[in-house]
This record gives sequence, structure tokens and C-alpha cells, in this order.
Amino acid sequence: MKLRYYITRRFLLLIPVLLGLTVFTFTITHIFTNPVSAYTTDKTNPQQLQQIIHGYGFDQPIPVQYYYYLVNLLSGNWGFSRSMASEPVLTVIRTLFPATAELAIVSIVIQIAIGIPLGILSAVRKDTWTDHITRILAMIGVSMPVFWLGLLLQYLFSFQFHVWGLPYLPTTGRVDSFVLSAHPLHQITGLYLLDSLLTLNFPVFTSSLSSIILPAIALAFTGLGLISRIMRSSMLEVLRQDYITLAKSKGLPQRIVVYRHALKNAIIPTLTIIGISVGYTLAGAPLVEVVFSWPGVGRWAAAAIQSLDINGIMGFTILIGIVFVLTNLAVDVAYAFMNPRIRFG
Amino acid sequence: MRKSLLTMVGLVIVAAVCFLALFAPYIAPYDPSLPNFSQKFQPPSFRHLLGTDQYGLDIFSRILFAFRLDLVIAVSVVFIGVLIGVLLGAFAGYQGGKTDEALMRLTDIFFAVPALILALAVAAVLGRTLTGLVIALVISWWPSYARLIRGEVLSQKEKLYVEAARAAGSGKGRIILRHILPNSIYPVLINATLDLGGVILTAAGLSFLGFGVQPGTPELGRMVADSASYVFDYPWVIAFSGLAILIISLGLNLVGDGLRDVLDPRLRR
Repeated sequence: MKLRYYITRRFLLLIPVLLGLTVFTFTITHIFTNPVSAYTTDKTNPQQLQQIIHGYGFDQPIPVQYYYYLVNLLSGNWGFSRSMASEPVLTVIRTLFPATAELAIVSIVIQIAIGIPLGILSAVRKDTWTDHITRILAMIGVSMPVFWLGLLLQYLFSFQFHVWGLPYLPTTGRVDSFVLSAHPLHQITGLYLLDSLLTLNFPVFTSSLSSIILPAIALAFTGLGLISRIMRSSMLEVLRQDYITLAKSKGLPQRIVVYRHALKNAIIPTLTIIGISVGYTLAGAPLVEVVFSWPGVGRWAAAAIQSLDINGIMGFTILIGIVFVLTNLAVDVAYAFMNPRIRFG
Repeated sequence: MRKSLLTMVGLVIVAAVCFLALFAPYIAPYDPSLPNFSQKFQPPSFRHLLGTDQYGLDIFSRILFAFRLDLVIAVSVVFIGVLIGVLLGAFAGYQGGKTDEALMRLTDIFFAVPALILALAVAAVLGRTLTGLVIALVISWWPSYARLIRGEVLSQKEKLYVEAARAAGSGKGRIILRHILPNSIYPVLINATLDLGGVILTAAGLSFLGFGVQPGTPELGRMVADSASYVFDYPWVIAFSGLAILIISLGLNLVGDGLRDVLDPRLRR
């Protein structure tokens, strides 16, 4: 099968999954809760109530209501978010999502940049203290409550460092507001790090880089453990194969054997785990964003829960569903690209 | 060798936590929810082993009772999840055809969103109660068990002993429950143990966000959330409750990992 067909097929398979997700959110919003309540206040009189019920089609049969719901979603009408001054949900997402995307991307870069070398190190030095410590750290990583880790990081690197007179990191927000008002940022992508680099706005770059470090580390911890564990076991698997023995017996230095010969094959299984770690990163976003007052969709979702803003929560759920499913598609495609056995299988 | 040492550490942690949770009322030196404002923000000492929080509540006593609550949440979520998942998955796998297809498409939906966020969406309608939290977590967790058991049942149902049972005139329910399930449930049980740590973490996360239990209830995630704003002045108010979450889920993960290794030798190295 050609890669192009594989991608098309995988892409088409996403449609039923995403439709299913809308059935799920529809069931929650239209069957388990009264959809009318999103449009009413205690001042709504019975006549207006009737108008709302009729106007939005809430007196129609369920399948018809689902049809309207789907048409609304597809035409960009995701309802209004009560917890964000009743702004349209899509507008809220457009404003807040770049902050979350930036945090998640930096966090995943940290996970890969540290997790993969750590896994390799652990495999190459199997059964030494380096290996044991790495594995215990990985285990702690997947057991760590990220919100607590976030609070601890704030306490140590911000509060205590400040007390000790060391350079300390900010604990809240994406950028220092004084820096931002002194050097206004021309937004292109909404990712502060990227935008400030593109417009050569270095004060904002430095400020947003120092703001993102702690939340990104807190968010990276779980995935870091996962990635280093998988990297270790797949490296060990590859190191046992004949072609590695051959390479070693040719007298090649270990560095060459590991990085030139083994790594290419060992890294492939690790790719699939990156899809899973994206899931953990997205799930951790509400927790970490609340702790660090990060103005992203996660903090919005947490606030939406407090005020029972159903449209907000459902918008967030569908958004995360789309992002998660698309990243998994990207991971699968990359996997098929690197490993032709999948495509032809 | 080293690996089994880690599993032992996990077992010791889990056993200790279970012991503390079980005998919490006898071990706890103070009432976990009786405020004593003259004693607030006491640092750890012999009188208050892990210090006191903003209400003067003894943190050690609260953690003991929170162990109880969190273990009950995790075990009931996994138990109910396994029950629902196994029954539905085994039936669909045995039945095959459209039933099977329908269940698989249904579970696909649940895998499209990370568990914590799915639980968040469900919990939004169920309200902020403990039962709501448990139901939300069950809804996020059952599909993985349904998938797992379905695969097992698919491989078992063509075997001779099943055909023999069918020839002997056993009904569908009897064949599934008495013949196939006993031969295919182990992977599910292992996964269920592995999941306990994850469920505890997710439950703590949700209650940190304000879901599940009411403020002030001795629940680990809630305790961190309730005291989070005092962390800079009195770090111990969150240090130990968060550490307790880490320890309990680490213990469960170590045991789960060890179990998987024993039963799946391919992963043992």
C-alpha cells in the first residue's frame, strides 16, 4: 500500500470517531442535562421560555435535534461560554488555545529531549546505578500528581530562590506584563516564544521563556517517565540483535554502534508512545494551567466546571478530542513512513 | 533480581497504606475534621507529626482518613469498570457480527479523549459529589477492559472445549460465564491492578480541580487544593498530602509492573 493511500484511509477512519465524540457530547448536553438551561436565567418568563424551546428546536425529536447540533458544530456555532463573559466558544478557543499549544509543545520537546537520551543511557548501562536511578525516576514520573509537582516547583524555584537571593523564575502567566507593555508583541501565531523570535523582540522572548520553564517541566514529568522506559526496553531489544553483534565484533566503538546502528531501529517503537504522552500532556493541562495561572484552554475548562458552563466544557472536550486524534494520526503516519512493514502489512 | 526488589518495595508500600487506611480511626491521634483554630499552621513536631493546616487540623490524621477514601474510590472504580467492561466485552466478542462492531465503535469514542478530560465532561453533568466522581471515572475506564476481554474471548471461542460445551447443550450465558471467562479474565485482572495507581492520580486531579468531594473532606487531591494558597508561608500544608498521593500511586504502579513481568515474560529483562 502506498503511503498516500495509507494516510487517506487513516484519515477517513477518523470521521466516525469524531462523529461518535459529538454523539457523546450531544448525549451529555441534550439528554442528561436540559439544553434550555444554557439560554435562560431566573428572569426568563414562561413566554420567552417557550420561544427559546421552539426557536432552538428543543421540542423536536432527538435525532432531529442531533442533526441541528451537528450542523451548528460544523458551521462554527459551538454555543456561548458562560464562564467567559458569554463569548462564543470558538472565539474563546481561538484566544486561549495558542497558550495551551505553546505549553504542550515545549513540554513535549522536553520529554523527547530528555526522555530519549535517558532511555538510551539506561539501556547501555543496564543494571548499573545509572540504570536503576533512571528507572526509579521513570516510575516516579508516571506516579506523580502533576498539580502537586507544580506547587513544589513554584515553592522551590520561585519563592525559595527569591528568599536565598538567587535568580528566580516567575510562577504565574505567560509573560511579565511590564515587559509586554514596554515591548508590545506583534502576534503572528499566538505562540509568544515563536512570535517574539520572529519579530526579534528579545525582552519578551526572555520573559516568556522564563515563564514557561516551570509549568512545562511539571507537565513533562509523566511523559518523560513513559518515553524513557520505552526507549530503554526497545534499545535493549535492538542491542541483542545479530547485526549489532556483528558491528561490535568488527571492532566499532560502542558510541558508533549505539548511535549509528542501533538508534535508528530502536527509536521507532518510542514514536508510538509519543502519541500516548501527548494524551497525558493534554490531560495534565487543566491541572498545570490552574496551578500556574496559565491563560490557556485548560484553565478555562477548570473554571467552566466551577460555574457549570456546559458549553465551555463540551467545547473543550471536542477540541481536545480533535487535537488528540490528529496527533495520533500524525504519529501513525510517521511510524508507517519509518517502518514500511506497517504499510505493507 | 533488582526488579523483584522494586516489586517488594511496592508491596510493602501498598500493604502499609492499606493497614493505615483500615485502622485509621485507631491510629489517628486527632479528629480529621474537627477544626482547632488555636493550633493552625503548626509545623511538624511530636505533637503533630506532619503539622497542621489552616483550620488547625492534624495533617497526619487527615492523610490516614484520606487513604481510606482514595482507596475506596480507586477500588470501586476499577471493580465496577471491570464488571461492566467484562460483561459487555465478553458478550460482544462471543456474539460477533454487528453487536461486536457496535461495541468496538462505541469504545473508539472513549479512546479519542484522555481519561481525565472525559471524566471531566461526564462529571460536569453529574454534579460535584463523590458518587458523581466514581461514575465519571467508571465511564472513562470500562472501555479498555471491554476491549481487552473481547480480544481474549475471540481467541477462546473457537476452541474445542467451547464447542464441547455448546454440543452438551449449554446456553450462551453459561458458556460465557462458566467456560470462557475463567480462561480469559487474567489479562483484565492484571490491567485492573495496573490501573489502580492511575485511577488514584486521576481522582486526585479531578478533586484538585473542584470535583468529587466537598471542600474540607479528607481526600488527598482536595487537601492539596484547599491548602494550595498557603504553600509559600507554610509549605508542609501541601507537602505531605501530595507526597501521600505520590507514594500510594507509586506503590500500586510498582506492584502492577511486577505482576505484569511475572505473567508476561517477554517484557522481563
